[in-house]
Amino acid sequence: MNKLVLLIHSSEIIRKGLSSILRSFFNVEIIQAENAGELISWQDLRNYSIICILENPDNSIHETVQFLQNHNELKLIGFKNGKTHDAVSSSAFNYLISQNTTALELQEIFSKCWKMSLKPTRSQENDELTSREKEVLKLVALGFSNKVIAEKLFISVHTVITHRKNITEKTGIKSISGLTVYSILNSLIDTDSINPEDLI
Amino acid sequence: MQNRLLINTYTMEIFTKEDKVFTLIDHNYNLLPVLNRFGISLGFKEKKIHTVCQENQINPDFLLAIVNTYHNENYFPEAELLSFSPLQIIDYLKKTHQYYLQYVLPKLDMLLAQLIESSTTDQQGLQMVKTFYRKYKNELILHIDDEEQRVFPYIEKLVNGKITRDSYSILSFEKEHTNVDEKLNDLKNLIIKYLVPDYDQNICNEFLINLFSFEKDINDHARIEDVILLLQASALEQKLRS
Repeated sequence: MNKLVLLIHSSEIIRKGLSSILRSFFNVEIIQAENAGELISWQDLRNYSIICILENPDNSIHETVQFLQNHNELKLIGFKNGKTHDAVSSSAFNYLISQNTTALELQEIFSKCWKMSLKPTRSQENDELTSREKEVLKLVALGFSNKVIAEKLFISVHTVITHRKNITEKTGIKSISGLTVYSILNSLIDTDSINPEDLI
Repeated sequence: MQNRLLINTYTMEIFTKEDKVFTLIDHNYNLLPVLNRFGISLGFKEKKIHTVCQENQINPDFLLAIVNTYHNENYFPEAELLSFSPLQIIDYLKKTHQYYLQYVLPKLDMLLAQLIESSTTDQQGLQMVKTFYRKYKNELILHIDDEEQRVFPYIEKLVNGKITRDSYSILSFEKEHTNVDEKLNDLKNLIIKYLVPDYDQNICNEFLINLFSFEKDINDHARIEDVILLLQASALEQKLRS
């Protein structure tokens, strides 16, 4: 999921300051806006992991921020200006910051937000191919079609496709000949009996 | 579209006619071959983009559209690019093909040969990579040939209003891009992740760096073909057939 930071603050100095601090910590797209109204052009945004810093948090979140929640993962950080009272309910916000927040604190908050909002990807869970996936891979590498593989392993074509999807996700290799090279490099195929040049 | 506009305003660097040509290269050296494709050579002193374009008889808007698309992956000035003649775009794409065929592929060939030579073992893995690379290269060359022999001439005919009644339609074009791109990605992954490193590391790094920059270039190239040229051609087709 792509990350995006929205900085909404009326002060250009604060926007640029926040942006510059964040840039030194994170390689991420940062959008600055003077007020939340400008966000209306972003209503088509889908599947982003967004952190939004919003000025002067009041208890009702601006509608234009709320719509982002529908199709994206949104974390809200309230930026309290001096005049705002501490009494503001922070329930709508994941964090509150102010002009006194240090760069390191900001970094910490962002790290926590990303961690919370970003589900671990599959490859982080387990990179190893299962023995079943290895069997499927071997047959793919030898050039068999999904249908034949399904018959040979007594599974459905649908299951073969799922295995193949997982194999590609784990190895990062997409093409059939790429998977063949992978299989040979990992000794899944015996190259004594087959000429690898014919397979790739 | 509006998203793009906002990104431009707030975070993206968009080059304009008033920028110096030096700034382009200073901010993104990957643009060096892109400038060459327009016939611009180095040694441009403090000249601005519009001046250099004028000197080389290049449409500055076209150059900027190409350069900015290349520089910012999220920026794609579809509307602007669509306003240029398909012939102009074809000319640019052909020059890119020449760059791939005459410079990039021979360089990759050479580096791979050096890499294999530097290997201290039986080179079995590297030979496999070589076979895979050769297959990729052949597919790419076939793809380029197909575009130059079949697709581009067809679009040129469309532009000149000479449509033949054959069943060939532009929509059958460009199915193969993904396959070719996949193999380039696989080649990188195989070397980085799975190949036993029994070779000269500096040569391998150089090979990989060349693959990465080739990938960037070719993705941009494919995007211009798939999105812009295809759109223009199918609009022309509809106009001529109705």
